[in-house]
Amino acid sequence: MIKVLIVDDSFLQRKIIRNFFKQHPDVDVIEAVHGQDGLDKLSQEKVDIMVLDLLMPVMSGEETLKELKNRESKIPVIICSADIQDITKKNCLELGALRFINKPPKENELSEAFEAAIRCIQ
Amino acid sequence: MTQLLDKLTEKQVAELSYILNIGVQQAAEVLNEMVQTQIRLDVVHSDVSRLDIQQPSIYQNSSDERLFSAVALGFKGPFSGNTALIFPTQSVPTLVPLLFGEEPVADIEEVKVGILTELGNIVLNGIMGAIGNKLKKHFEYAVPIYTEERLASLMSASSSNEQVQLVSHVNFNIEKLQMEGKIILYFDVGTLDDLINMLQ
Repeated sequence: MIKVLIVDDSFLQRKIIRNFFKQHPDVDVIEAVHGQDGLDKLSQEKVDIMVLDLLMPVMSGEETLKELKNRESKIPVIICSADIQDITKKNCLELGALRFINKPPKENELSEAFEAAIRCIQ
Repeated sequence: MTQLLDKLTEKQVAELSYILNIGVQQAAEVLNEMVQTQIRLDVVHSDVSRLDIQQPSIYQNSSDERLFSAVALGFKGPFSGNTALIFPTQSVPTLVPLLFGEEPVADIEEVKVGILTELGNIVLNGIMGAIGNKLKKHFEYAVPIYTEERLASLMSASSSNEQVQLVSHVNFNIEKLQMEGKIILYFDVGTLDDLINMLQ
């Protein structure tokens, strides 16, 4: 099984992404509601791929990316954010994000990002 | 403040409106994807004004007791302020199932607030992001906030006399939902100068 952690304060977005993964029977999805919650879940169980929002209370996605970098984490991170700014995308990729897709996520973009993440962990 | 507004030429006001319209069109594309039905966002008109000299068009319904829903997004960057998406609360019962489906939920109020906050987040990010990309500048955002109040209360709560507003009156034409809304940008007074400089 591949364990995917969705970190997003919006249950609407978590639902959209969770529904996408329903077509992948080998994927087990867990959820977190902000960056700190996501980091806590990472330390509690083995997670293969993270789908991360940026604008969240408590700990933002960019802060989470920085913390993952500090921890030298190799987990592939797919950013899924409403922020369409070119500079935000560049910053996230420089912080180690694997892919950056915009909300609402398109199925083909999620598929491509997921396949890229799978290649990273194989 | 008057001096600041006086600095805006007709061309600059037109440029401000043009930039906002780019954002609105971006928001329309995003909304289309979210509700999977055809949406048209038409900018009825845009204007720039001091908040202590309100444009009559904004307050023409100020005696209206109807509730309006607003999602506000604060931003900081080359200039700072708030932006808000405002629409009639009576549209909400139709809008929420379009976005979330009809599945039963434990707490309808929580679901409603969560969905509308995310809708506002995506629309307002689309607008601010389009402006940032157009100006090649970067904005940082605060977590969006959802409120329901009378229009006049919303307008006064989300602004102060220390700000200048750019208001875009937008018609949301959704097949299943005739809906009109407003997209409002409030600039902190001190930062309007920076914006004007960028437009030159």
